[in-house]
Amino acid sequence: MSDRQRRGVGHELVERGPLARADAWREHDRDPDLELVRRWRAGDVQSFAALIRRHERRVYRLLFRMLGSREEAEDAAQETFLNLHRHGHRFRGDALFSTFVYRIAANAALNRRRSLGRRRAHEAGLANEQAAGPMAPSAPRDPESAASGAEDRARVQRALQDVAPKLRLPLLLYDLEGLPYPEIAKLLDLPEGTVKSRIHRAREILRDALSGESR
Amino acid sequence: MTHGEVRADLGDYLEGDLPLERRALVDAHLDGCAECAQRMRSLRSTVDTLRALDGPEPPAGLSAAVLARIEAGEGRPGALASLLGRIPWELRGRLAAPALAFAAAAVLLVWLYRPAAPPELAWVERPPLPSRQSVQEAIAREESFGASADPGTPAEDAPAGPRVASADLDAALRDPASLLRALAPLSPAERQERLAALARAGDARVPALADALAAQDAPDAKSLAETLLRLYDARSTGERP
Repeated sequence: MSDRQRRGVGHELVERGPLARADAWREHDRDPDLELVRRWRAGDVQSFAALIRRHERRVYRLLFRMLGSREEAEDAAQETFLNLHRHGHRFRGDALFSTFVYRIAANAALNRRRSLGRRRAHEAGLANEQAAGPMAPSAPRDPESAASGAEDRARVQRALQDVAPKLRLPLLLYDLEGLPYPEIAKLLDLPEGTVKSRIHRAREILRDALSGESR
Repeated sequence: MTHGEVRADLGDYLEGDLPLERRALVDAHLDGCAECAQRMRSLRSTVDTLRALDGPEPPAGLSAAVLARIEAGEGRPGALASLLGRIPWELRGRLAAPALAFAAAAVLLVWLYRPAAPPELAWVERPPLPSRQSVQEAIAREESFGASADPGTPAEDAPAGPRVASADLDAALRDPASLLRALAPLSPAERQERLAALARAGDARVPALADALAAQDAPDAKSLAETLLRLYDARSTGERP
């Protein structure tokens, strides 16, 4: 199971269905980023730097899975944090700060996809995944496992490209980033029911694509 | 239950979101239907595979690169926004009026010391571009990325709009007065389209252009600058303008 970012203290484990995640969270009263945001707004640049370091991993991961290219993900990640710096005053505290960051990242991904050629993004993604750089600590260390792990990641990334961006985004936010439905709904400005149905459709498309990959 | 009904419920079933009675019906169907049970198992496996995916790690210098660009002047908030951002929320209502007056005075000073207008540049006609969409509408307009479908050519799927808008942005920054002259004869809707195209270039040049437009000697320079900035801000944050 991949490492999920925790969003504050005082969580509650909720027993759900077979796919219920052990780290299922509900929204908290306290946003762990608020103190850094206040200091940043008061003029402390180091607090903004700390916010970047706190969120860069999740932002880059989401952008890579959306754009399929390390170079594009890096450019989009820089654009995300520059826009965060520019628009930080628009954060009103009516959602988690991480939701605000994800929203800006989602916009960066969707805006970039309009100008990326589909084939170029797909090929670049494959090339990058095959020449994989440092991965998460959970990746296996022995050569055979490492090789098969990279192949598996490449296989899933290829299959993800079969999922339309409008379905892929909520899927990644839910299953990869671990965001709950209400937060995704708020982030994407969609009803929860629409979020759920898009995730379900995305999973089915991904399943079909992975089945095709294994043949 | 029919196969179709069970398949429609599989997503909620796997998440534990079905009412107990409905869940019992799905369970009963799965017990007796190998095909649906296999579908459920493959769906669960797909999600497990996806959730086991992690990384890649961001490049080591990402935060340093962002901070360097901020230091160089990119990504800076607007003067008024920056000022408001430093004020406790409860005081903003009382301080909004003097803050606006300060910003207006700053714009006036820039206008008084504006540079002379260089020769006019020619604007080439572009095909109309869609207006700015929120994240929700942008998602709704996204087409399938299916590998089995015709992927199209890079030219088809990388429309000239954004690259052309980027070149227009550079030209407008060099000569903002020329942009105003080009916009003057257009209808309000056409002006909106042109400004939306520039906002879609989507980088720190846009607020710099808005500042330059606001400093121009034209009756509607400030309102056009505000429109451009509003379109850019909304595009960046996914909020409706």
